[in-house]
Amino acid sequence: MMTTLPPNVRDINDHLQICFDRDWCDKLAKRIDRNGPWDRWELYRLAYEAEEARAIRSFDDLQCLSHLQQFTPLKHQIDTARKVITGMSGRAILADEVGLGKTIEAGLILKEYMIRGLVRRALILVPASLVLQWVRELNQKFGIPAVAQKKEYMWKQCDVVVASIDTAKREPHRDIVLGMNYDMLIIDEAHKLKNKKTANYQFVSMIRKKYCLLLTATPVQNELGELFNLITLLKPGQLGGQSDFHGNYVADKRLPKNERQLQHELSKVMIRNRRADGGIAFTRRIVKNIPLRLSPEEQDLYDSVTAFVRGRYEESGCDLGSVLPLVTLQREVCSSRDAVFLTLVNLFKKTDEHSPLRPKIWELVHKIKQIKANTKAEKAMELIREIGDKVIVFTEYRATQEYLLHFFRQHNLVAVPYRGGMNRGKKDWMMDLFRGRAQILVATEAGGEGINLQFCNHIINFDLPWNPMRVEQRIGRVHRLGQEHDVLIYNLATLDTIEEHIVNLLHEKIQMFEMVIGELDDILERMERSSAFENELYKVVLESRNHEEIRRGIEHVGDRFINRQPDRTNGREQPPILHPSAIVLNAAAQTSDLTPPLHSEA
Amino acid sequence: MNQERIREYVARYLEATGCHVLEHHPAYITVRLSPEADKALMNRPYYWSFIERTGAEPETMTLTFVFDEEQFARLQEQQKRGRTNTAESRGAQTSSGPSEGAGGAGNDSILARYFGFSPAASANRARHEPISFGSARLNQIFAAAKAGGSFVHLYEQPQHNRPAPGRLATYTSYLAVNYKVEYVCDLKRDELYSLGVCLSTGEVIDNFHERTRNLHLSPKLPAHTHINDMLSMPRAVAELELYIERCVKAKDHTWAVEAEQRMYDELDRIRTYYEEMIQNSSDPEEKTNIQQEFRARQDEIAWQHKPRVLVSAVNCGIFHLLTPLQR
Repeated sequence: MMTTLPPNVRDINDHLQICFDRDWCDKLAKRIDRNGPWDRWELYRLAYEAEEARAIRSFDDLQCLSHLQQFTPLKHQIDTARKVITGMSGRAILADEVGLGKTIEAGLILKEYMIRGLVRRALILVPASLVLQWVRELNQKFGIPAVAQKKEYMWKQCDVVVASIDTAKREPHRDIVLGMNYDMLIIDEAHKLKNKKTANYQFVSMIRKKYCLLLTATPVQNELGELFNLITLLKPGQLGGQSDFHGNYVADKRLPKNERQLQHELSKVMIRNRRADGGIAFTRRIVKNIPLRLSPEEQDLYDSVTAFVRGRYEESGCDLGSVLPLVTLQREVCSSRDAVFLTLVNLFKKTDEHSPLRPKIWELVHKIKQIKANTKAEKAMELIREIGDKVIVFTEYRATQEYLLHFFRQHNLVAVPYRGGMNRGKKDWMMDLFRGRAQILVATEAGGEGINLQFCNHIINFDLPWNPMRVEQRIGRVHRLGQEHDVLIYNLATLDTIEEHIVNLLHEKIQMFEMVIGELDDILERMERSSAFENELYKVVLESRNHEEIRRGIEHVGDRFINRQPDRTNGREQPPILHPSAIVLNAAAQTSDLTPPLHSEA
Repeated sequence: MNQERIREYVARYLEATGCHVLEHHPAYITVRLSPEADKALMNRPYYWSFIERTGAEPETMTLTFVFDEEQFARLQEQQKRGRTNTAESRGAQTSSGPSEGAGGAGNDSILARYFGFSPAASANRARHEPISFGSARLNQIFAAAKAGGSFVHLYEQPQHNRPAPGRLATYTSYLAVNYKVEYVCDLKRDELYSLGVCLSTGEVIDNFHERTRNLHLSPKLPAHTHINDMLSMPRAVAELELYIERCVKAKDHTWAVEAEQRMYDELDRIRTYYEEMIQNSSDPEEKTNIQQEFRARQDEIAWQHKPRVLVSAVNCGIFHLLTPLQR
């Protein structure tokens, strides 16, 4: 019946067409023919009012802010979102330094496009360990109904899907993903796509997308070509063709030229906010070392264990590898008798029945039985009572964790456990209990994905890991964006034991590490791989006869570690030798003008 | 929309869908949903298909929508204290107000973290839900209103029940369409046009919604009426579209020129990149692949940037009015 209507797509002018959706005409005609069914007048009015309330009146005002109830984004995050949407047409590398909330920025941009109806289908590719965290953040903070991809049908049925690249690139998923048109593609940890030849890179470059965000704190790690590859995913040709790029910008693999020009081009596709520019207020971090003296019984056990371990070391011909497990014993004594007991019993079981070691181990077990009280636990309890607020207690050992939970319960303190082996649901449950009812969280795992505990600002390190990065990770759970109070860290360290030295090392040096670690997460990765650091420490301890020797040895190791990172600590202050990353970083720093008093606006 | 208007809106929706309001308070509304609202809002199709198949008596949910969280929390606190007092005076007997248990529902935040909001734990406990602009629940109510308010057919009711004897009430009929006009490129902006076209003269009336929203309209055809002859539907639609087209034409379209320029810039940019690649490639198969990728990128850019104006209907209806509207 609509035959007499003019075409529904018509030219407005040379640049623009108008397109009428006439779906409603037939539906209305059908209802007129059958005289119904008709809707109610009041709902009709409500429907129109809803549309009025939601209509977007301007091209460039951010709408998403009025849609967020759960939190208020920071100014640099809002500025970033606005710039990506209005100045970069929704294709950008978000390269903020770690901890400034790249996820939030991506969430804001996604939300804004969804509200405007420009994005319905979005694909978010992240490392497997971050999938659930992303889903939660998007749901919780942004009210975006994102789902974690679990079943094949979800690719098509769900609008906002979070998945790992490794899953997505495998059949049967691959074909489905490549067959879709995504309004938006977000890739977290995008520096993993720096190599053009990898299957991941090729897969991602084949995904059809309208808007695209690449998130990485380290857009350049090794050479400039990596940056070119990342940008090619986003906007091929932004830096010219491959040969232009090499001709114009690359003097050597790691040495750029025409920095100004390069920076200018980069600023069109990349935003990097830096902690230092923003004056983004991180609260202070106050570290208190609490020196403790072991009770005579405990000290006796410690000395015996030390003698035992050193004996094994010499017997094995100073082979570090074969005694490493034993060194744990020493550290366990400093933690709790439960921890060392468990290890000794296991060792006993493993040892041959006629071995001369058996009686020695048994002797140690007997010494354990003499110990009635745990000096550290008593002190921890005293501290917790003084603090009178929420406290996280970190320990390295499961047995110590169990003991502490039991100990606190006995003394009418409400404590809940947290460990890496728990499944997501249980972790969430424990976090909820900690947030609500419990005063203490006794945790064995610091690194684990996505525990954000900004509501708590007291940490007790019941024992210390030897790797400073792990300490940093522990503290990072609490001392991060969103923490409103100064963070107090108490390190319990027993005097005249290995712990004393570790604490000294960690705290004299960690100040120096801090600026390094805080800035680039690739160092974090590199450090974790270098178990050499820990081994060196062990060696020092085992080969030293007295405490003075240990102290000197450990300092030496610490110094060497810092010297291994030359361009981190001073590279930026020496312009002539520019590390490629420094170029990039500077580029973006210029583009994002953060005004200093950030928190005053929040 | 501020909280006050949201409250008003939600109350009107609840009333329109026949919900039973248990408590009206400036800070919150506690309501027992009607089957219609329960189906639209509570996401439990299995329950409803079960009810429909077995013919069992449906038990709808009771909800508290909170518009002022602070005040609501204060009231809860007071109520709790009041309750403990009465409980003490009465012994073990507890009173249960309508919003009993509402506070306890806040604890299922784990579910809330996964789903944005949490499904009800049990039907007889009212759970409370803060509602604000952009919240999932309000969007759901918006969507429900749209689903249930798309097509209407209404007659203006005479002031007095009966017109003077012997006189016919004469209606002028309108096809009314609430249009949404979207200006789209890589950005987007909306305009709403509420238009009505007179079905006897073909005259288009602007602000139709505004001008009719307070009239007394009903789906019932009153007695003693006469309806004027109607314009054919296609003609009416053509009139409306022509009107919109004229309005849109008269606007400033710098945005479209700029968007198009961005599109051409982008197309130029990728051309430099891919042409070099194609030139340097000696392997014919590789060449085809690059060409394919090139085309895919070109499509993406057009998809992202091409300026266009999309016009769709929010809702529409036939309105029979007693007094013709003047332009």
